[in-house]
Amino acid sequence: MFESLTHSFGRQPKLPFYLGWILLIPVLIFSVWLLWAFNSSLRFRDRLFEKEYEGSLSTELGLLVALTSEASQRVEARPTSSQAIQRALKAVREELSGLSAISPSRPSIAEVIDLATAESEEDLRRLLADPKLSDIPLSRLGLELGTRPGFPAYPFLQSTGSQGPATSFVFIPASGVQDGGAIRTLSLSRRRDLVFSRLAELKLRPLFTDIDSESIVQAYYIACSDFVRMVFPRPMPGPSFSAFRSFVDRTYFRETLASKDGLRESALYLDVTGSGFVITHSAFVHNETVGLCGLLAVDVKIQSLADFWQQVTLGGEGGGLRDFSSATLVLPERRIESGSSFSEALRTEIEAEVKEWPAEDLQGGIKRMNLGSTKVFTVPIGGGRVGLFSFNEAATRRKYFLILVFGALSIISFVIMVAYSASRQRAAAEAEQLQNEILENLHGGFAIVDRAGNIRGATERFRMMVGNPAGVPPVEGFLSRESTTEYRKLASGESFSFAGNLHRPGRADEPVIVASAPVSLPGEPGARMLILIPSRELEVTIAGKFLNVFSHALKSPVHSILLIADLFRRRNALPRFDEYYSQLYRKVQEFRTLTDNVLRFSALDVKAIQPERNSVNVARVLRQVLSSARERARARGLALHESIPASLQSCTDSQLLVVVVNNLVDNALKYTNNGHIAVHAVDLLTRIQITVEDSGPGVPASERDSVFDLFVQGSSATRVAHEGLGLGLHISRRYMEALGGTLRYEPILRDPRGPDDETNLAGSRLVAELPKGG
Amino acid sequence: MADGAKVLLLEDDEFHRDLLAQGLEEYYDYQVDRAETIAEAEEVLKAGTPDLLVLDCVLADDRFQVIEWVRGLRKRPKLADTPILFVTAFYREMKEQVESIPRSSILEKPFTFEDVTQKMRELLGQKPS
Repeated sequence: MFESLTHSFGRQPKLPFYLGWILLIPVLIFSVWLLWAFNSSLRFRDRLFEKEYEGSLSTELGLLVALTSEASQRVEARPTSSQAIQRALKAVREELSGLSAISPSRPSIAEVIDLATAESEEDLRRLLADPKLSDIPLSRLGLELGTRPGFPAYPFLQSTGSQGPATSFVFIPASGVQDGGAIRTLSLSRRRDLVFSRLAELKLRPLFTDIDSESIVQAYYIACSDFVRMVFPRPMPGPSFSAFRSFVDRTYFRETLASKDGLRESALYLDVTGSGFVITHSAFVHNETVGLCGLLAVDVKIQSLADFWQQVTLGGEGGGLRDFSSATLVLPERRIESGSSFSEALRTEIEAEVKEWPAEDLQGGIKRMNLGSTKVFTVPIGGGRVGLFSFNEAATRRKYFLILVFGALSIISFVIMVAYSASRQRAAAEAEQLQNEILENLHGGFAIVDRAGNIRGATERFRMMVGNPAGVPPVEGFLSRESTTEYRKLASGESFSFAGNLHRPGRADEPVIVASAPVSLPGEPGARMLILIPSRELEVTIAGKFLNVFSHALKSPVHSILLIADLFRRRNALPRFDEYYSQLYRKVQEFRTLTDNVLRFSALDVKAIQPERNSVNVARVLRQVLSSARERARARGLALHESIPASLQSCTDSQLLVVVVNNLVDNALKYTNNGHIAVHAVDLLTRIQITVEDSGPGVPASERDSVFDLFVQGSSATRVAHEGLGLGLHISRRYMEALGGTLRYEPILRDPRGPDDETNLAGSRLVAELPKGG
Repeated sequence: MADGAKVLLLEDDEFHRDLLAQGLEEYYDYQVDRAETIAEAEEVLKAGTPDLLVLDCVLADDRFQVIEWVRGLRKRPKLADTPILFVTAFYREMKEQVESIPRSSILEKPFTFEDVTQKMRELLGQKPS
């Protein structure tokens, strides 16, 4: 098959994947990032799920209780910018310098700072240098620290976000907080590669005026100081209530909303209503989306918040928060206007929702209940239910949406790529198949030849034609000697074709058309394609056509000769002998010209015309030709003019010249029915110009290109029956070229300034220019 | 012999026309009206109906001009039965066409005077002499 050709030259279609790659690379990058982000969040979650903690987590976003179990851990995010660290430490130092005056027993600033910057458990232990602390896991270290006398900082809140967890420390001066005073918190969180530090003042204010402040304070005390305690299995004492109470008069936490540029800040919001609701939540706002995680207690009848917390952590009837392990919360996005009160909005909404809860749902174990468009998992505690909710859905949704979009894009791009490449490959395969089909079904053999003439690849047909299916010899092996010579002569040029012969040993040569053209193949300069088309039938057809034309052309003079010869034997022929003879002679001449032309034509292609140059008087040649033409002109009623100088010398072949002039005059006589024929010869210094004019119909402009072609006998517009084969002018031109001259056609216009169309044609002019040579 | 039978000769080659007409008149006692084109032939027909038509099949490369004209002639009452001799160099091509014309015959060029006059006598219903 033909594959051998393309494969042997190693040409394969190239398939560009630009479209696919452009889409795929960012997708890959994003996927890598996703994995990393997911992994880091997984790690965080794993930490939270450590078995040491009671109460497992359901969602990384929200479980406040579980989050606070992190409170003792160091800031996970390692500060990566020393400048940020310095800034944070500077702030801490300032704060603590204010506080240090209050309590002499507080740890040194250095200690606090060091604690704030310890990056690992090892670090911490080393700093503390307390042997008995070495056995305590990091998770409890904060608790230990918190109980150290005078240590004012309580790890208070662990929040988290996509940047990682953060730890907030609450500094409660031992001297207490005055009315209208504030608690300061230091948050260290990581945002990308910056350590974000915020020293905030949390002012205490009442939310609901109908709640006595004693309860609020108590609640706050319990909440704040026992936060840590509640999540750790080992009960730990906190600061004394009296100390706490002495500075807590009004309780509130300021909430801060994120600025528009998406900074995340957090605030702890504590609300104790006493009407059965306990809502605590940590709010953070990011890009105008509120994320809340909170703990909801509904109708919880509790003796005290301590009791409440205990139940929450250790479990009530429903088993406690430990049973929330598999809950998943899908939450709505809430947008809250800047400056509004979290608590009011949320409280109102939650109140409304909770009022709708059917009484029977408040019984039993873990239940999933509606809170707005949120589902909340609740557990019975203290006769009521405690539910956990968190939402930060929007960011999650956005994230998942992005994942989805990128995932879809990547799939689409992959599919496009595959389909595109498949279709390209298919198209290439089809093209190749089509090419193979064409080549195999060619009525002839196709092969690729290298510069040396060796066959580099060939179709079946080719091999069969050259008679050697096994291997194909170089061109000498299958072309006849003349054809090989011809091929070699032409093969250095562009495309060509000629009629040649295949040589087969033991058999007659087979006529073929040999066609060849250069092909560009990589690594093969000078490669050519070679086509062999069997031409025996073609030759027979062409020969048949030629013979047909020839025989018709011959019939005319033969017919005339027959009839004239017949007249010779008639009774009164003798007186008219001369007349009959001259007629006969003319017809015989025409016949001779015809057969001469045929012979010359057949000789034209076989061997190159080789003029034999001698010094010739061209003028005399012209006069000779004209003398025999005069009679014919007179018989047709045509005037014959001539203007030929006495002598025109040229170094040329007189025989060829005679044929040319004879043909030109013959042509003029054939096509002119009335008027005249004129022959001029002029000496143009380097050349001799011979002009033959007639007053015939002329050749229209559209046909002039083919005047010198073979077998052309004039347009149908002339409607003149004539004799001849259409060889004369063709031969004349070939002979003139062989003599180094030219032959051209010019129309004769009636009005020289008029248009060159049939209305203005008055005849033909054939101009031959012959170099003087020498 | 011909006894002065009237012949219309349509032939566009001047030499052939004159040669044939001259021979037929001088040596075979025909009266020959010469025509070079169909138009001239019509002129002759107007003057009178000939006894025989001798027509060159192909005038000026138009193969169908003469045949169609003849089909038209056959529709004319005076010429419905007039015998026609077609002469042509394109024997093979024209033979089929001519066969469809009643009362006609075809003769291939080149021919001698013997050939042509024999055909003419046959068409005129005279015995060959």
